[in-house]
Amino acid sequence: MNKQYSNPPIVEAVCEFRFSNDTQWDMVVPGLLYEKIKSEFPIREPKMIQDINIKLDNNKIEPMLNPHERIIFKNNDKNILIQVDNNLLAINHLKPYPTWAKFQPLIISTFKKLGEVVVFKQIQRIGLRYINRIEIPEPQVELEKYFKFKPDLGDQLPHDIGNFLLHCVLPFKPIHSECNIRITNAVPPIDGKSAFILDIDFYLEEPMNATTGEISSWIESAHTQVENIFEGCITDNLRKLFGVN
Amino acid sequence: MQTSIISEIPKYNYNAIQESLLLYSENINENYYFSNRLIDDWKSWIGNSYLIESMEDNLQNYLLKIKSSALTLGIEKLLFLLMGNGILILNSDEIRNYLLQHQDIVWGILPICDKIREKFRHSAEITIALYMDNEINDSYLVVYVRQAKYIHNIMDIIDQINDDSEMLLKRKSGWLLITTDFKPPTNT
Repeated sequence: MNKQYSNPPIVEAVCEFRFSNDTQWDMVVPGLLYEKIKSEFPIREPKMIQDINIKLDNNKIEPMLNPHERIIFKNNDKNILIQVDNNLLAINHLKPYPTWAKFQPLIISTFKKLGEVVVFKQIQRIGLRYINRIEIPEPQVELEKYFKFKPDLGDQLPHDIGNFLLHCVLPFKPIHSECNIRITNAVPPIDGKSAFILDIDFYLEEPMNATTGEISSWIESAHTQVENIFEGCITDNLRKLFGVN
Repeated sequence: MQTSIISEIPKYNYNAIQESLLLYSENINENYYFSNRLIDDWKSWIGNSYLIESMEDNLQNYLLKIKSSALTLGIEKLLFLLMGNGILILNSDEIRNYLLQHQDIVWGILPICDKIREKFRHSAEITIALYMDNEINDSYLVVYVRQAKYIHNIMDIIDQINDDSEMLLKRKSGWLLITTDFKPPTNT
């Protein structure tokens, strides 16, 4: 994030592209992409996906399962994954997350390499998502001590919260985007600690031309917003736990 | 018997459908078990109801929004659901790391643990842990079933669950074994 932390909470960063349905995508695309990235991502694994679609038939809505195979390429450390599916490219960076200065070029170079093997005109959706797992060395946490983004129960309800999930959607109209922010409690690593998931999912709301320039510009703006949102969700007490430099 | 989340929601409530999809959102891409539960819930809930045509497009757009290629959230959700079902989780970080490398078994674990819970109800303590065999550099998940007073046919029941679980685990990169060490539960 924009502050540098010695103990950052990011457990996963994902940039996902979903291309429009008119993209000339066929089953050889993953293999062609593999030829271009195999020196960095030599491990190739298939993964069965159960996609759900909704079909209107005789005025009845029927959800339908669409099982298919997704190909995943991994680096030797198995902490960076490239997922390729019909009209989909996703770049996942598991912890340890490096910095945006290293993740951003990986996104752009993978996007460019895919562009060398398939022609796409439009992007239906881009998502830049950061999943943070925050551990606090206290069995019971006063949320306001560590979070600015938290449930507010008012004056009359008891403030002992068991499980919770808070979800907000923030519009970012100038860049045709929205951001899902979610915070929930999670399973702590050991007794005596508490854990929370802070999930920031920033995504494009309207289709965009699939040019490298427009993509670069959007993901740069998205990342800036994600940084600001992250910092806006936490307090200085949490920054200290992350080891602010 | 798990309660269907969707069936409790009044019919024709578009927001309710969105909410129910959101509940399943992290599982839709990944999870055969959850996907089928979702479909069953939808069918029982919607039945033959006639719904307006524009809804299809809205829901397709909504699905597009909530589908995600993230890998860690499904594991977090699984651990949370296991804990909610009263299953003890030993060293969750080890289990997280194992599941990240063996994503293909993530969604088999919950139905298997549901099955164990169904067979033993509250007469057993169920604990999940990562077993590491350093001699052959192998590791896999183990679910321990412990009872305060062991029933005579406990191994028969466990063997049957292991047999049934093979369907969910075969041709997967990871593995899960159900067993007992005949120790007393930790909470006695």
